[in-house]
Amino acid sequence: MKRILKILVVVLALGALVQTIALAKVNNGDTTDSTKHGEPTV
Amino acid sequence: METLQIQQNMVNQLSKLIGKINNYKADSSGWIGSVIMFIFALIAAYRWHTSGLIFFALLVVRDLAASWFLISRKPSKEKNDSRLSEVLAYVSSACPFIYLNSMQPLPQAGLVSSILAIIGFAISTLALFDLGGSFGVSPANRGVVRTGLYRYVRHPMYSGYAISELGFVFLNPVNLIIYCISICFYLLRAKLESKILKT
Repeated sequence: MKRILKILVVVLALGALVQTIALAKVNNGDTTDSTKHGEPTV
Repeated sequence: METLQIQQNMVNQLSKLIGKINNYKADSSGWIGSVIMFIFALIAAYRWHTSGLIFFALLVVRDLAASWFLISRKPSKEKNDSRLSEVLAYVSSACPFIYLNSMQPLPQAGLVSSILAIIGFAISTLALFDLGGSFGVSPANRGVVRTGLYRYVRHPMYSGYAISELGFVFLNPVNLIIYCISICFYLLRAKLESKILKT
């Protein structure tokens, strides 16, 4: 049980880190535009 | 007849559960601390729901675990009678609430602060699970823990707090003064705890 909870903490921390970095990129306007690379758009 | 048996089983299970809870016999400070941590968990859950930030989910897990460990903790073998050490522990715990907000936040400063907060909280939460029933705010001897993070660091919970609070310094330089005071409190608490555990 303790091990499962510790894994949950690590997963949540990693998720929070990824989310924080992604949100910072979005707020800075650092988003990739797929049309620039000639990729098909839907 | 069958419904009676089911009811009887349910009553038995319930009385077993109540018996288990009563067996913990947590002291008054344990119960008060537990209720406070449960309220913090509810606030974190609300903020998780409104903001959608996973960091608050981490806080919910931490606060619920702390709430549970405070009522189910082992009775202390020896407690520091000094009122000063108890006051120091509670003042030190309240320090994170007095940090100042950023005046004009730089995006990089906000990002660094958030990353440090997440890493610090993750370390202190993992340390909390290692401590389990030995967890407490004021210094007391509930047995020495030498497993998990405690194998590598002497005070991983304070180390986690120190890392997460460092983030506030990036938000506002004035916070450096509060940070230095907070670190001094952690060092004093660590010294007092080591003294109690040695006896």
